[in-house]
Amino acid sequence: MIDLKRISKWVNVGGKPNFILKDINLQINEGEFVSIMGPSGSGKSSLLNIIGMLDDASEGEYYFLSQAVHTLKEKQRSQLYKQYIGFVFQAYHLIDELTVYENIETPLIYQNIKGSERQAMVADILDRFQIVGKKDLFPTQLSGGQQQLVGIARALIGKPKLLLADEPTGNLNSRQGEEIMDLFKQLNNEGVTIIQVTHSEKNAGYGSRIINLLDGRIDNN
Amino acid sequence: MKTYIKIALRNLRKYPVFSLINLGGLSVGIAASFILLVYSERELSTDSGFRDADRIARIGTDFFNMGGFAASQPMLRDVLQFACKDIASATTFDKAYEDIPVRLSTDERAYTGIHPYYVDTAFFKVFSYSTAAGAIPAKGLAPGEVVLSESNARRFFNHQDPIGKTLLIGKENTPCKVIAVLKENFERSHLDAQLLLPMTTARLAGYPTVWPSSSVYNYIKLKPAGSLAGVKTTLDRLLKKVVPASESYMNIKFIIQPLRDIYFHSDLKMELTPGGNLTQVKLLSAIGLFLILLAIINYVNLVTARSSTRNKEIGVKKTFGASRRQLAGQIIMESLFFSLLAMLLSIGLIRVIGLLYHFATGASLTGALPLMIKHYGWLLLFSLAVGLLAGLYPAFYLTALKPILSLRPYTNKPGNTNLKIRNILVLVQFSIAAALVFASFVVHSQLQYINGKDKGLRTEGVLLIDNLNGLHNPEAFRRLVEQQSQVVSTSFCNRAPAGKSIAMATFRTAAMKENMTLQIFPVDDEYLTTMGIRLSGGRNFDRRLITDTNALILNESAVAALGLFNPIGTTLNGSQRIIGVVKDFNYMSFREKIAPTILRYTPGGNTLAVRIRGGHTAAFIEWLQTAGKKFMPEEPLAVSFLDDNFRQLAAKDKLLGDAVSFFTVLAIILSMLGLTGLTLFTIERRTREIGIRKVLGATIPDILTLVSKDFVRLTFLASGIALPLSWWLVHRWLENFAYRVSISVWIFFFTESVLLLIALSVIGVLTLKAAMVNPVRSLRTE
Repeated sequence: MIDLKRISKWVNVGGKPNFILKDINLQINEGEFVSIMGPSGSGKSSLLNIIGMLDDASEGEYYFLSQAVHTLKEKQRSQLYKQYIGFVFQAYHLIDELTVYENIETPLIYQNIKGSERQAMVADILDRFQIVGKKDLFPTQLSGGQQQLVGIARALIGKPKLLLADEPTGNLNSRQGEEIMDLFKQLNNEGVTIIQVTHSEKNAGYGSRIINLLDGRIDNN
Repeated sequence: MKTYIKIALRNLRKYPVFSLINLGGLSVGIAASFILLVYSERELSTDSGFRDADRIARIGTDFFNMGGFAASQPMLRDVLQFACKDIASATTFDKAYEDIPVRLSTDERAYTGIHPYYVDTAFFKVFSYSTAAGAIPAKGLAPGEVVLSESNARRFFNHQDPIGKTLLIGKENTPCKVIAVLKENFERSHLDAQLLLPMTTARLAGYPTVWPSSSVYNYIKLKPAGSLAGVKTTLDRLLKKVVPASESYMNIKFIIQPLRDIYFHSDLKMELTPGGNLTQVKLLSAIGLFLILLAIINYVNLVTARSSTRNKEIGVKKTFGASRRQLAGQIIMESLFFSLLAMLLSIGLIRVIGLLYHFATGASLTGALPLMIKHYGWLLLFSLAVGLLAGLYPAFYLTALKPILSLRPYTNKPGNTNLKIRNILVLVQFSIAAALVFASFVVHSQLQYINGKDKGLRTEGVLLIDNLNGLHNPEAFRRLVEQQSQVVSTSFCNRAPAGKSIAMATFRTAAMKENMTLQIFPVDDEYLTTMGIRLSGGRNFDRRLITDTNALILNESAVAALGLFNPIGTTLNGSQRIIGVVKDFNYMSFREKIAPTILRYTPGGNTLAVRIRGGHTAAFIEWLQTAGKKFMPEEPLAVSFLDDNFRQLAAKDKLLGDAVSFFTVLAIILSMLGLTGLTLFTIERRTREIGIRKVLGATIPDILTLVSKDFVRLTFLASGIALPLSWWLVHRWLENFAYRVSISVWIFFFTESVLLLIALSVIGVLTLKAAMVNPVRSLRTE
């Protein structure tokens, strides 16, 4: 599903390239549950952003479902990730001005899905995550765990093949964290490919594979 | 205090774009509204410069129900002076209707465009002019003496001392000694005395002394205890005594006008100078206030827009124990400091805006106003008031947060709670912009309408020479002019459209019991051709027909007013035969309806009207002056253009049109600045949201719609609020015109589109920038 070839990312600091990622070669198959680990500043989030097509690599080739992402234009890329990728963030990144329902609905609006269909889809997922009762609340009225639940629901509403999660439990307590990881495991079992960035060995244990990053390189595989 | 200013200065330097927008907007607002307010103050204080102005009044007259004249009878002065105990002094003076040539020596060419005042000895007792040089003797001007205005003194003598110098005045080159120069003050007056000569006994005796006449201006000054009511009683009593009952049909009346009412409220004929327009002054001062309001809102928006950066500073200070009052004080100090800076800038800007205004409109609103110290005092007070007003809301708003909240990065941004107030501010701004844009469109379409309207005559290409009464052989001069290939036709007349002279006469049909007073034009048989007036029935005058010496041509209004059904061939006043009817033609301002008017055959008038073909006008005038010299060596021909004269009539309206559109442009610029601030604020508040939406698949157009949607809604709301108000105001202004455009629906649409254009262009550019930022950056949590 994902094929990264010699991916590097650098920024210029005082005229010298400062490598964030160096020579990353990585294949991830459909149905895998991969955890990316590593100390702060090792490039985990940058790798995730590149995989999520939110950011460009400075060098290298990236094939997603056999499409050469590195040759695509911004618009085509956004078309691609809109369709296949869902994002979950550490800080949830819900829109404060919108209700739970509206937050979950937003991606569908940008995928030009009709109103009636949207209603059915949002109702489904609210039901599945057992947050129907919260649909008219605003994010600030929810606990962290509940907010993250909404965040995941929003990521899944478009039925993505790939779920990218950047420290999804980082702002949660351990019980809430466990619930989220159980949910991930369950989703993975249903066939969703998941890549998560995490600091926690325990969370990494939920996955089928662990990638260790150190100073922008893959340490062991 | 010191740290306040230090922080204010550092903030200025740290955010140069913000500061520049803010400072620029504030100083433009201060300067522009100051100009307008000073202009309005000057208009409103017209004639207040004279000492005891509220005790001065003018006595005009009316007879035959002609509508009233500013001038009245010369014998009135003595009557007033001696028979009325309320009056301290009464003065009679006259203003020369013609241009009087003034020379420094016989071999020099004359200065033109001067209309002297002939004043009696009491003139300076009523009007307390102060002098810039010389002194006015207590007994008034003696024959052979002259008083100048400051600008004329400069014109004649440059920087030399004019006192004691001699001027040669009039065709006779009468030598007159300059004894004083009148100071020109900030306060204007409806008296435009540029050159004052004594009213000699001989001159005074030359005026008609019958009661149905109006030839000189009579002004009185009351005793401190006197009242105008008392004057009126005396005049009414006198009237019965001096006018015999047999003359009561003349309906002689006196019109008493307090001095301060004359400029705005007098609608008498033979006014010394054109009157002011109160609606116009009110409109312009309202625009002035709007402009400063816009600037204040801008300041508030821009300061609160930057709140998230300031929040941290304020939060930290609060945790150190600074009280809310101290912090609010700091913010108000800052805005005061800011407004003072803006004031310093605006002193320069007042001149720049004045120049720009002159450049854009060719006129000057305030001219080289002799601004006084007190005006700078006002400017200072005004700026401080603006600063205080502008600082109040930010001070309240920025210090309202709990310190812990202002230090926390993403939670509960203050923008959410105060969004309403900010929206109201923008609504006010949009409403002001909408009202101004609408008003300027309407004013312009009215001016356009006036210009384009069929005047019933062809104004372009007509030259008027109106100082020909001294010409030795006018017919020979006319023949010479007519031989020029450029000349189409010429006409001698005693009255030109848009001219200063008035002629009226009474008429009656056989069926009428009473006379009717109508406007008359004493003209020759070439008048219709030269002016391009169209006959709608009958025929033109014919100089070969002796019977035509008693012939009349009526305009259509006169036909209607006299109730004639078959006018051609009818006689008026028993013997005057109507031979033709012309379409109504304008000869006054468009504010007035075309009056019933009669053209009377009168060959040999004082004014020569010349219709010429286009092109080489300057060369023709040059030829005309050279030719004129042979016929009238004493002074140059007084040449004017008919279309210019019409433009003069509409000068005040044009001034309003220019001023409204000029300041509307300024207001639009200010609104755009304000909108910039607000959009920056909105974007700052929504950066994260924009990022999230982009990750969720929003395209750039999606984001543009998202951010501008609210503003677009606001523009519609603003139009809804402002347009009816503006419509009402402009409608009232339009009601001054007898001929006016109807306000078309398109203007409403047009105004809304201008608003949308402003809003979308500003928001578009700024949001585009925000929308193009990679969401990875805006969502970074660390």
